[in-house]
Amino acid sequence: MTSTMTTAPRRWVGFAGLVATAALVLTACAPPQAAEPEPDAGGGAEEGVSETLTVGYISPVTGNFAVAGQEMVDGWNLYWELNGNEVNGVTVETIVEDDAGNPEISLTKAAKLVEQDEVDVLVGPLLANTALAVAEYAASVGIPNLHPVAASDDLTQRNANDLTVRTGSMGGSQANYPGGEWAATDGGFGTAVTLCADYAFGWESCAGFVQGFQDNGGEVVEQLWFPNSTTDFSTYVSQIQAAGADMVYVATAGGAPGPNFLTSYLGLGLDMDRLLLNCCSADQGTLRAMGEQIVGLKSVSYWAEGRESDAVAELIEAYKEFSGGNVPGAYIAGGYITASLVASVLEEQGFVTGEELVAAITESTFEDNIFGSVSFDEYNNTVGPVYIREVVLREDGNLYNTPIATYEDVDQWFGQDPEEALGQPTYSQDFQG
Amino acid sequence: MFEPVFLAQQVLNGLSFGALLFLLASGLTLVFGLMKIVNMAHGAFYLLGGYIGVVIAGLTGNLLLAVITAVIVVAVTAFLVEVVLLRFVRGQELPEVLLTIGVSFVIADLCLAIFGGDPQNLPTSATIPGALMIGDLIYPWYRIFVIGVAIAIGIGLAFVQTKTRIGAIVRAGVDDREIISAMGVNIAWVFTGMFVVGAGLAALGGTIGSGMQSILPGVQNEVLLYALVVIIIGGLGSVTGAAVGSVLIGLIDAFAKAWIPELAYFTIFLPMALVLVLRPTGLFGRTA
Repeated sequence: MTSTMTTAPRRWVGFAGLVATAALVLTACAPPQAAEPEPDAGGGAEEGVSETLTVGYISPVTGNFAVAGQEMVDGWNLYWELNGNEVNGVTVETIVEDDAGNPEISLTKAAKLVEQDEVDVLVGPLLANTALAVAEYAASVGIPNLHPVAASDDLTQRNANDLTVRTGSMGGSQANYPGGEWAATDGGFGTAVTLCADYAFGWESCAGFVQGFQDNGGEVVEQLWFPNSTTDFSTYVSQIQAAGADMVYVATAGGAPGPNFLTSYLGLGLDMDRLLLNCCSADQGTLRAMGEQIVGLKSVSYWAEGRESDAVAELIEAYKEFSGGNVPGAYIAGGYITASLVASVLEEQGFVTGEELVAAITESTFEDNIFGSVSFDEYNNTVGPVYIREVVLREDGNLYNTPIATYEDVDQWFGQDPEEALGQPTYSQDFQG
Repeated sequence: MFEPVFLAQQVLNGLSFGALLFLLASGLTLVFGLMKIVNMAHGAFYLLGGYIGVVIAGLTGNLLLAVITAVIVVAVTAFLVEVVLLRFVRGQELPEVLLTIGVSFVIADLCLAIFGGDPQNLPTSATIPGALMIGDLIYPWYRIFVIGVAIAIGIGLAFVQTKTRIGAIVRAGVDDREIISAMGVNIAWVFTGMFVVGAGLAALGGTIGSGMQSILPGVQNEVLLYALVVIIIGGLGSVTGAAVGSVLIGLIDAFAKAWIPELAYFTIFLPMALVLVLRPTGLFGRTA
């Protein structure tokens, strides 16, 4: 080191360089996830005629989205663990790859899975930008791409194709439109202020809520946007209070922003009954972090773990055993339902892949799976119920998002003509529909 | 946007966020001032302290006990890191920094394995309930309490630094390590002591801070970044600088996000860039 010879400003440059390097190291040094083929459930090989469906599963199991990414993988694995990974003579083999939430890594891993491991199906990844990148690549090489969690509207709108299907979630705007409708009608609110994450998912979620609210006579008085890196929400809560609207709608991408927002909001003594959150702000992670003080908190989502249904009860029971007592959130449900869709196609048709697999998935309809009554539209997007949920404390000591209102057969167009809707600009701070 | 209640609330928002930043940055700046180490494990000490604090507070409902336990556990961890690892690379800047990065990874991964990935907050039973009410102004007591803790720590550190023999040794160590060791002070143990105190402050920040914002994997990097920005603005090694930098960042962040939301991404970095351009040693830093 030559630092003793340099003048003060140059030391600063050296220091800044060191810090920058270190920060890079911190973000880039996530350990590569070793390929983990699912152990063979046994029996498959002995039948002689067995075939193997190899699944490449890309998820951010390290990095900032590690928890959601791991849950998405756990949901998938949970299904095969419960039901065995051999269906109708076809063995399902999964290779999990970590993309750390970075689209470049997602693409590299997708190419590795397709070229080296010769997978038949790609599942994932989780984040919108990574999902769009992988979907485009998968379509270009003719491999079907299933999306258990990714919410980006364009996966099944502007970028829709015969190989991409959203299996376990809904588009960002689609899942939140009923929230706006409910707030303006049953909720009885006339004006609203919104606080949404300042990137595609937040813009889409907010756009859904705003349109639902305005289409039913509500008025949005102010829209606030927070950077994803925000940890202290007090400054936004003060602005919400100053806006003086009847209600507040908040959309975050899950993780820390949910509890961090609630801590600030409740700390300032604001009324929880005037609050409506999106799916992920009130996911199980938030419920566990905040505890009983948020009993009664309302949110809108396509997933409701507190719904009375045999399918949901079965998943909850299985996941509790799997996780040591936790209740499954939306990411678990997404991974689980994706696995069950693949399994039911294999059950009916034996080994299929490519467009046939996607077509078979989208032809299926369900009277009551874990999400409720679900089917698919011609853009390969989920059409199904959206729930207005309320946090309820159950006898097992866990908090559940329990439906208080249900909007059935919600599609991604809010009554618009698809062609017309696709002609609009994509949602942003400036364009909310 | 300019009503008195809104302004007062925003000032308190800025001050309480700044108070948390000060708890983070003071330990880092003290360690840097004496040892010339940028302790990249500082964020991990915050994370570990936060988790331990949350667990103990959940078990006992007592915030003081939670803070004390967290500080002790993290201080012992830091002691081991200093004595077993850091001593062997003393004076070699790059190995020192890389070593602390490694320690940060190990601690963060152990935390993930032990405490899981869910965000965790101080249970409400252990925080200070209720809110201050003056007319229309409502403000949570807990955040006011955080401001109080930061002021107390700041005064305490200033007192020790200027009025005690330990403080004199530390200040002498900052100025000239060789002379102070020639005068019979075992500088190696002064270093160890300072490293442990710095980590203890991080643990205190972690526990107190988890009542304001969640502890979860990844927080260690955010916290480290904030602390670095604050001490770059304030001047490396200066406690006064850390205090001024924290309050400045806290207030700028609170008001800019309300008045100029387009700048929301730069509220932390713009002041740093300006300081680096106009006064590269930081507001209270000394030229080398």
